[in-house]
Amino acid sequence: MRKQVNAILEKLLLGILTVMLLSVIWQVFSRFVLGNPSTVTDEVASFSLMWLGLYGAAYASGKRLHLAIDLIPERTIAKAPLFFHGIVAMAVVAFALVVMVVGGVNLCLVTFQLQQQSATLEIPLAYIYSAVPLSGLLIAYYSIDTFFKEKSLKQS
Amino acid sequence: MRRGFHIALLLGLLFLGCTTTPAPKILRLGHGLDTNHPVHQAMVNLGEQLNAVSKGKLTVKIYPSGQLGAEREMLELLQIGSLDITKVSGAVLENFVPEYKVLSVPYLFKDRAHAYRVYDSDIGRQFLEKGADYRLRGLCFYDAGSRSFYTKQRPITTPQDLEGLKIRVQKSNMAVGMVKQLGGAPTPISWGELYTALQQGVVDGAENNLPSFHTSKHYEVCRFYSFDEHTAVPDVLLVGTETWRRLNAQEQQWLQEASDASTLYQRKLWVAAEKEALQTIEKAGVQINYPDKALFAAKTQAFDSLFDPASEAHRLMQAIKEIAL
Repeated sequence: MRKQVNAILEKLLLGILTVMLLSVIWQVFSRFVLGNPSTVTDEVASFSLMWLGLYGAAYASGKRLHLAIDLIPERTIAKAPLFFHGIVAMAVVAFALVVMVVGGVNLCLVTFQLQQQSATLEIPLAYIYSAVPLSGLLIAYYSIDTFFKEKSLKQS
Repeated sequence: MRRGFHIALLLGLLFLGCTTTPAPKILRLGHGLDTNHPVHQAMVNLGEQLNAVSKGKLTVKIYPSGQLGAEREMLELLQIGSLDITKVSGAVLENFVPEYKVLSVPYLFKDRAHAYRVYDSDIGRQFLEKGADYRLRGLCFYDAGSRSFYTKQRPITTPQDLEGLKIRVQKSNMAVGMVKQLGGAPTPISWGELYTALQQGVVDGAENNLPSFHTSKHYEVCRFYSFDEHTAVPDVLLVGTETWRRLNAQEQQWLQEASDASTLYQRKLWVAAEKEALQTIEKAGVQINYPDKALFAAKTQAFDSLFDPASEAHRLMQAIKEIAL
């Protein structure tokens, strides 16, 4: 399961990065070579940057590459690693679910209901904002999965 | 014994803050303008009036200069009820309330008096109330003058002069379409980045009203200001419907009356600001020219048939035109 999620996410991220790269190149090319700048590249680039950040954060948390700050000395953690990792996983899951999923779904619903559109592409912004709850779900999934893997590893 | 007295004193102090009079309601107002801007001063005036008429029960706290985000973000804050009042350009509103596109139609208003008549009329009120369907209730319009082109290398005397020039526009399809029809190459760039973009030649020119040309110091880079006055998109003051519902009928009336009064005050300030801006840029050596507007208006005829004849937007556009007659 986790492998498949990773594989899909990797392809998605690659795709987003490609789109962003191409749109920025096209923006520079059309502005300085063709002299007739494209008006949509700006929006495409900024939306793909948002998606790259959010889905990239989910991917990084799956790979355990995300930023961590040591608040408790390592010696204390070594005494009860599962307990401390459990707390960390719970905090991450709580944030992902409450802020990103619940808050993000709310945001999407409001923008969808009120039909807000992006300025130049004129696509509903709710689609763009959907990345917030989706990446929240992924982060929650990854941290739960990581925790239970660790637990079974310790117990065996 | 002494200690007990200290604790009792401390506890007593805690209750000093409690009084029976109700706390004054504070409405938070966010906008993106500099504090020297006439529209900001009009909103300060609104706050003072509200404070006076409500005897301090309803006040406004202003967060200027985009402290709370860009105009689009503040509209979203209004929709979810996190912010009470905001001022945005009518061009930004188009993506929230489609009918506002009408106000961006080039040469819609014949002159300033026509624009004022529209804002004060029933049609103006209909625009403001349209927003309520999208949780954005309009309070009043603020005059934002009319927008003209300013360029680096050459003056714009006919639409042909725009040929091949990259012109910065707002992030709005109406503005993009207008520059395209006039023959220029529209480039959406955010307002804050425009000075360097002009300096480095990313764009050859931009378009805005006189006070903005002046306060942004773009006249240091652009030496030509051409009064073609293609559009006159007003600024709009909006209150979130969530906030509006929280106010009682008396407070709603106070807020509406204070807004109406601030509109009139702002018009005087605006005319003075335009005069001052013109003097400053002339002194700075900017060449000002007055092209024949009819040439530009002829090129933008296509906007007349932009809206579906059966749509609300078309009806509003016709109604605005009739007011001019």
